[in-house]
Amino acid sequence: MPSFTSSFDRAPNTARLREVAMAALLAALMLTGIEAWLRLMGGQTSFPLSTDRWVANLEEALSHDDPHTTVLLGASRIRSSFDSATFFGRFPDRPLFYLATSGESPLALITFLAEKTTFSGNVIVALSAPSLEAGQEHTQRFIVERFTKEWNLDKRLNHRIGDLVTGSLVVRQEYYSLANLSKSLADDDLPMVPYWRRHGANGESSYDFSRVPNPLQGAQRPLTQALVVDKEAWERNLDGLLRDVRTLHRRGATVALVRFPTSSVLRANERLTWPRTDYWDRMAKAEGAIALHFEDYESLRRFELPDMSHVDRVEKPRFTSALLDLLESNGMTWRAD
Amino acid sequence: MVFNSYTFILFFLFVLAVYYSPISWRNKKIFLIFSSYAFYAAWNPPFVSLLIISTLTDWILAQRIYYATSLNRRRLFLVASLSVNLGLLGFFKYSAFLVQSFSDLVRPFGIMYQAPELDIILPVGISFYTFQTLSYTIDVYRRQLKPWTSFVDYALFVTFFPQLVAGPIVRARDFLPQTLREKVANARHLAWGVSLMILGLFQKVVVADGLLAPIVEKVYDGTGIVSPLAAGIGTLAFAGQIFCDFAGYSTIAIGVAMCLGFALPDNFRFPYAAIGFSDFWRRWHISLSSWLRDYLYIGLGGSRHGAVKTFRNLTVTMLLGGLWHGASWNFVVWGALHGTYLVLERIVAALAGHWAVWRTGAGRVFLAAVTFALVCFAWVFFRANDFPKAFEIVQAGLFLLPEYETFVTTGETATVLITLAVLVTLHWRLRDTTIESAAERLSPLLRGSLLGLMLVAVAMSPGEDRAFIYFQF
Repeated sequence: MPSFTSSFDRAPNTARLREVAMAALLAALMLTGIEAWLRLMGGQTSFPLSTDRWVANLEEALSHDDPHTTVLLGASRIRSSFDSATFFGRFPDRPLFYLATSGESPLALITFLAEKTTFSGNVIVALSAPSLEAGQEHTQRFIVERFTKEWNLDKRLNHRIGDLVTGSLVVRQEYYSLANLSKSLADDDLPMVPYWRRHGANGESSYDFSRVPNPLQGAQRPLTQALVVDKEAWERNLDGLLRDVRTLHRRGATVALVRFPTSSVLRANERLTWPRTDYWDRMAKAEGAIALHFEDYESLRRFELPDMSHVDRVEKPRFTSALLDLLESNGMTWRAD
Repeated sequence: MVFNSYTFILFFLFVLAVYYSPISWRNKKIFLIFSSYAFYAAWNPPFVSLLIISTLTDWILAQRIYYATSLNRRRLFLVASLSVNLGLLGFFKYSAFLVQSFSDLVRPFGIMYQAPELDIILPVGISFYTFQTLSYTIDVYRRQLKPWTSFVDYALFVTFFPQLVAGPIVRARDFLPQTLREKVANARHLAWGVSLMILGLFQKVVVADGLLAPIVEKVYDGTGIVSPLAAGIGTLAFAGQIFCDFAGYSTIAIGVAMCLGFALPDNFRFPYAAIGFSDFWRRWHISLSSWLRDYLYIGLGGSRHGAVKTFRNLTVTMLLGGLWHGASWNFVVWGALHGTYLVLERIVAALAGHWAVWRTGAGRVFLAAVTFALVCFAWVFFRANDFPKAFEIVQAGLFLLPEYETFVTTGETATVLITLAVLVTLHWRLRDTTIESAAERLSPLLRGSLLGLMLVAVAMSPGEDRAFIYFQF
């Protein structure tokens, strides 16, 4: 006799397969209805910015032996401002990979590319002085950890199937998830249909600010005094950055450190805490790196940033075009010799 | 491979198709063994060798134990089995922890030992299959089980994929007899097996990952000091998350096995309706707590040698039970707290257990509420990444911190309170019954509709795929 109790022995006598079939049918009908409703309301598909997406992108970037392979590092600014269509319009055959997670510093990924890989393509890094603050060297380590320790055939396959499903169904968009809906309802922050942020399967984002009633809601307020910066940690991270850029440069990679635009109160606050001469100008001296600060170029400065930090999707192509012009004129190349 | 993945759906459909094809029972079992290896290899192929080592070691040593001519030789082979199994477990799970603890221990004496950074990957599920194979050799040593004659059956017992990586921990004497005759799930078992899989997925994907995990992570993984409300809500959220995550996994595992015609033991029985801590451990992770009871607590003497030794045995068992969960002092504290709860419960029961008030409705609700509150308190140490964070949560919860940086929104608070209220109410209503008898009382139409709604909720809960919490143990 078994020493345990089991659901097996208690399975309801009335359980029948037709219940399961009915459940499947009901679910299919309901999901079809919700999908149709969301699409009628203008809902569009969007891909989750999951760890697996960045890991898959990293793997693919490292698998290319094209010396013109380009990786984009940073956070939401580069992800939402760099238009892949414009890039491919100009360089149709050059591989491009987004490795820019949200709100995080790319230091860990730069270190990984420099120390643990043989990558020697183009590296465009969206960076600012806060990217080197204490602890920022760890923020994107989760990508490296997943890639080096957990990424396998199962996860790769699962990610691909997941993208096939997510790319076909609006109902699989994170924004319309039950969890998000429940929180939005309780916080009196009803979800907008359609959502204003879309993420592509490649990890690129598009922000449609015309759908946002008040883009500055929750934005920074003017600071009366500078924030406290852990200078020792900042210097340590600067040393690490300079070392990684030097390693990449000596291996033949072209690295561009780009200060993406910010405006208004946000920019004023940044100036107060991180004066350019004390911070950015020192980062810009990285050996072998192209350094572009948006304030130095009219072509990057002229964009309106509805939330003080991101370019609207309508402006993306023009912004990307201007950035590519500057990168090319400073030595980054995508054309065959 | 995790149950909440597209690849598992494909894998399981393939397994079902082959399993129910007209092949011999022996070939079906061999197919299940190789499927289980594939299931495990999907995570990290080289670690399949550990499964093979564990299988072969205990298969050979159990025979040696049984046929040994003297007690000393039986003991010798048992020690060999314990050494191999616990040695592997110790190396992969505890070596970094031991080295670091040693470093911390000698530092106050002025000995500066810099612990090397051991980058050891923990093989998923090693704690589960180690305990499972150990139960086999110990049962054979105790003469409660004869060594099984079929290696194929034994290998299937060790590797059976539904419960391989996170339980329920199955005893050899419960599983092996099931391999004797061909297992075929009838329509009733198939229907109920699939229903359990949907229920488990709902618990994991919708409740644990979708509703609760983001709030837990905000409170426990953030850098800002949490507010008193955030500390409470975050901890309640974790109480719900860990139940729905782990019970969800067990429910799916039981459902998957049932579809293949196998019975796995119950692992949870509405634990948040427990009245007292003995009751809690009869309802929470039942397959582990009964393993610890049978192979550790009773081995130490159980309650046979007076109160003091009983308290010692309880404490030791719970401390080791805590350490089983992970190589961290946080888990030791969690185990120590539960050991203390069990000891205190016995003392209080001896002093005031006869009071009539405990048998009234209000008295029972009061005891259940105290149990739940103290279980939640212990969860703080289980979930916090380190001691400072655990103490910060406790201090914040007691309004002892002057300033706060992390808050929870009204939406998050409502989500957690409503979810936990539903969960605890369900546990309380069902505490003396089973999910099956509750399902039996519903009409087939209502059961099908509920399952359909759960499927819709699962489909509408996309996001980052989170591994099951107990995979790390």
